[in-house]
Amino acid sequence: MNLDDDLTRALARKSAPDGFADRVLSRLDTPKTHRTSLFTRIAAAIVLTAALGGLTAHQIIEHRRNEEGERARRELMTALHIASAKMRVAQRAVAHD
Amino acid sequence: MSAAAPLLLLNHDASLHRAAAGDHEAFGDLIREHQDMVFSIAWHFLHDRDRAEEIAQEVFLQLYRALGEIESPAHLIFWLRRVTANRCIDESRRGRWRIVTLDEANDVARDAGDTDPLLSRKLGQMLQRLPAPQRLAITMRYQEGLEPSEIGAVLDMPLNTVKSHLRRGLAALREWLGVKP
Repeated sequence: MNLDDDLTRALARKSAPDGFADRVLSRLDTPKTHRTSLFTRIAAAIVLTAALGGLTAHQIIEHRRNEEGERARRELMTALHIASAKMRVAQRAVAHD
Repeated sequence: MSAAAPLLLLNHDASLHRAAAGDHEAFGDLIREHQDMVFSIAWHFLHDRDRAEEIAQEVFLQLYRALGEIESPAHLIFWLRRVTANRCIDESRRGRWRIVTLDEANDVARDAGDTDPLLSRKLGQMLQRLPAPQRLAITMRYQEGLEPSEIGAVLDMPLNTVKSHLRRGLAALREWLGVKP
């Protein structure tokens, strides 16, 4: 037994399955894209900048809205505290009488 | 070298350029020319016909995206061997393995021609027990007929590492077969 020869035979190239090349070609869904034109790149940059700008503006508005909401909540809580204190005073006065 | 050889090289170069320019027919020619090599490396590494085909398909899809980087037909062969080997290593790391059935083993053994199918199958199965780098080095040596230095270039390994993988892999195969060195 000659291991070198046996391995050469055992590891001989096998035939790829029938239709292999066609299956690969069918997976090339789109033809190779050509170089993107300067106009397309500028347009893409503008769209991206506008989208980022819009997103930032939206976040600023949202932040302000949150701040206003928080301020209104604090004011309401203060008003409730005052009203509650007044009520306690009034209750005490009524009970005293 | 015969007079036809330079013409053949020119044709291969032309196919490469046409494929790089997006010609699917030329790319199909390149696939058909190299599909047996790529499929066989994956098959000998995995011993799984479906997975070997999947890897081979992925290698050619990757080639399609990288055609602009391929400088010559020789570079193409080097690139295909290297990428196939890398994908095989990735596959072995993922551990997506299954036991090959006897029918599948017979299916592939029909390609074996005048070889002893039993011995070839046995060697193929033993190869699966070797660590991945040893398996790849032996596949490149005996399937592709590469010298250790060429295997080192393909697998990106120092020459001595390749020699060590070959020596250890062959020693293990001899031991399992009960063959004296």
